[in-house]
Amino acid sequence: MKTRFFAPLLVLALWSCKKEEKDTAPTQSTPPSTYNFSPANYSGQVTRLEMLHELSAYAKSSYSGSAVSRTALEAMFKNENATWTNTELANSTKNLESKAFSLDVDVIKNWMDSLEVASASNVTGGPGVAGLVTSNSGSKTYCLSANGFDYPQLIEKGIMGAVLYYQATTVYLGDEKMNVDNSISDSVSGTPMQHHWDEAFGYFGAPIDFPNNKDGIVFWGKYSNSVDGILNTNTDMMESFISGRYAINNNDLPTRDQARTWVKNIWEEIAVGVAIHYLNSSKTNFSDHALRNHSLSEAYAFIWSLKFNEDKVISQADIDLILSYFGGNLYNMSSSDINMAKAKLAEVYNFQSLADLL
Amino acid sequence: MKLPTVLFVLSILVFSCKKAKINQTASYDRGAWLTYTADEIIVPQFQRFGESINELASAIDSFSVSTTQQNLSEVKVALTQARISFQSIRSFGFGPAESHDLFNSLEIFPANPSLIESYITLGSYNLESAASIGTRGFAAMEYLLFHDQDSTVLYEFKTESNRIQYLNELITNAVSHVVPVIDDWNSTYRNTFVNAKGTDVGSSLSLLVNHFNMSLELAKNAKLAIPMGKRSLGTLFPEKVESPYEENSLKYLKSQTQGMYDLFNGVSALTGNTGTSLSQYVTTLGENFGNTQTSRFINQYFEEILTGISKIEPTSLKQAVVSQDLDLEEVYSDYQSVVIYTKTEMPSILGVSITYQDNDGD
Repeated sequence: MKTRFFAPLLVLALWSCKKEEKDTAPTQSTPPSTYNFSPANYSGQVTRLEMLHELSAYAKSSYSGSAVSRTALEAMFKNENATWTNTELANSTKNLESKAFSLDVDVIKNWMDSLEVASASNVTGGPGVAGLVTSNSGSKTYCLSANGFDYPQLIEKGIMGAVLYYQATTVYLGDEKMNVDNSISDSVSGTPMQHHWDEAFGYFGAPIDFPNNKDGIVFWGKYSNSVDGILNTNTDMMESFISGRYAINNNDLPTRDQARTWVKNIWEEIAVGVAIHYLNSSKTNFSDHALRNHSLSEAYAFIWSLKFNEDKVISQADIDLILSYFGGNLYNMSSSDINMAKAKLAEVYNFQSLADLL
Repeated sequence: MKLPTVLFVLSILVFSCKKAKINQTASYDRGAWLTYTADEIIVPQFQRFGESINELASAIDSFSVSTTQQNLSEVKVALTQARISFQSIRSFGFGPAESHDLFNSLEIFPANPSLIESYITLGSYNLESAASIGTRGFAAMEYLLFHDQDSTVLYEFKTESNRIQYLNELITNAVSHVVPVIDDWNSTYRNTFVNAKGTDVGSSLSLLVNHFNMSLELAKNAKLAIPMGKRSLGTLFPEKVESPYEENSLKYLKSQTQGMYDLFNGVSALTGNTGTSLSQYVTTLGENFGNTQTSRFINQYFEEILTGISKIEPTSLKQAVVSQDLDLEEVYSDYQSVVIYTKTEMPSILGVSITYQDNDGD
């Protein structure tokens, strides 16, 4: 009597803590608690995350006064004659540029060019002057353009959007890569469908037992963790990835499709949550040119990146509207411009009650 | 059989969603506390602050019409009063104050004198833009009114029409941020605040606890640590105190801290009596965890800080920073200690999360 009684209770108890209700898989057994599937292979994604890590570190060397070269950044982007700390990257056939949404490759390259210009300055930066700008407390220094943009942030977060987010949500979880064979299994990568799903997971930047294990979280995994306290994205995201992969193993396509939608939506929530977080931070630090412009640059890049999810909730018109509040010069922004950007994002995602908390 | 089963299920459901509310027996009437805090503390303090801003505005009006020593003195007194009154609302930066950017527009210091002077010379500027940091609010007004002896200041205002214009722009800007905040509290937000009775993020308790701590950390960091060189390996920045020209930083710091102490203890701004308070709430719930001392420690540190500031007060904060006054070191260390109780112990007892971060980016 007692045990029979208890199991449904636990299910209820777990279910009650969920933000959104998720239908249970029709199969009798339940998905595993971690993304521990075999065979599974997303080594190409791991390599690209490592490349972005190094590219970004090079861009940020401008914060300590180094002149950064556009040519060197582009070489890393394309993995052609690039200087890597991890020499294995040079031997890899993988690169970031060919996976970037092609129409925006030039935007990213222009940011690289702008960073080269800003980092060549050897005077202190400020409104109208490119150069190093230090926070009021002295703890942080950023290389800002004459218009206040922190280009290393635009480059890093822009690539997170145009490559990682785009590849995962639009390419690998898109119809073309999902409507593929799920019967012939390769010993390394599983079926093509399994492999595509795993590649999307690889771009998330989290270990298979995330969020219990947070070692080595990078990029989107790290940002999910940063908004998790408010948005509960860590568990939502992992359960969705696990549920989709498990459904593919069972050839249960309706459940897989539900999980696809969840991954796309939750990923978008992470980007929006982080963008709002940085807008808040830019308001908190409004009096600090370095911290405010750094935060605004982060927010700008995350908002710009929202476009890359083909099933996004926000409309492109709203993205453009929000970006227009930034204008071309961060030093000309007012608190009310920031408020308008934040209010619009909050409205689109129904985050009004959470927006101040992020 | 049926009813107890349902209750059991419900209790498991509720329990499973809680973070750390084990074994909660004592309770506190949060609704009554919120109502009291809104009606006896927050709304009256905003009201009082609004009045002090109006007085400052009308003093500036008179001074603009007639640039006399008498009128200058009255503007200076009114500015000091408005800033003291402002300190009492320092923990209420959420809701209306957040949406109307009250603190960013009024409180940013230090002022940027060279930018202010260039704006005055130009006669054209946008006080709201990020590039204009340090050109508006109390610190900018202080610079204009206190940066030199009265005869010089008076002469500047008499001979430069752009300068008197600038002072008028500053008060207009201030009023435009203050009035809507007070209007919101008087119209709809008071009820919103009183009715958000939970402990979740976004509840009034959570907002208040968070902003109470933000205010405390502003005192500790911006008002003390930065001038005292605690963020710059000992390099002192005496000119970065809140009030470098009037040299009234300690008075403002004390008013701010007194305001927090009173808020914590539920001191009514209308009657001066104490009522239902955060302090009692922390003590009552603390009993569930065998922790009954937190409120007492918080109060002890607040009292030590207030006494400590009084000990320094014969001198100015700027001078105390330069001389590395031992009482000042003591006060700073008391702020560090009290934050441990208000930011770690208090939220965990109350079951709320600290959701803001000391944001230095990554």
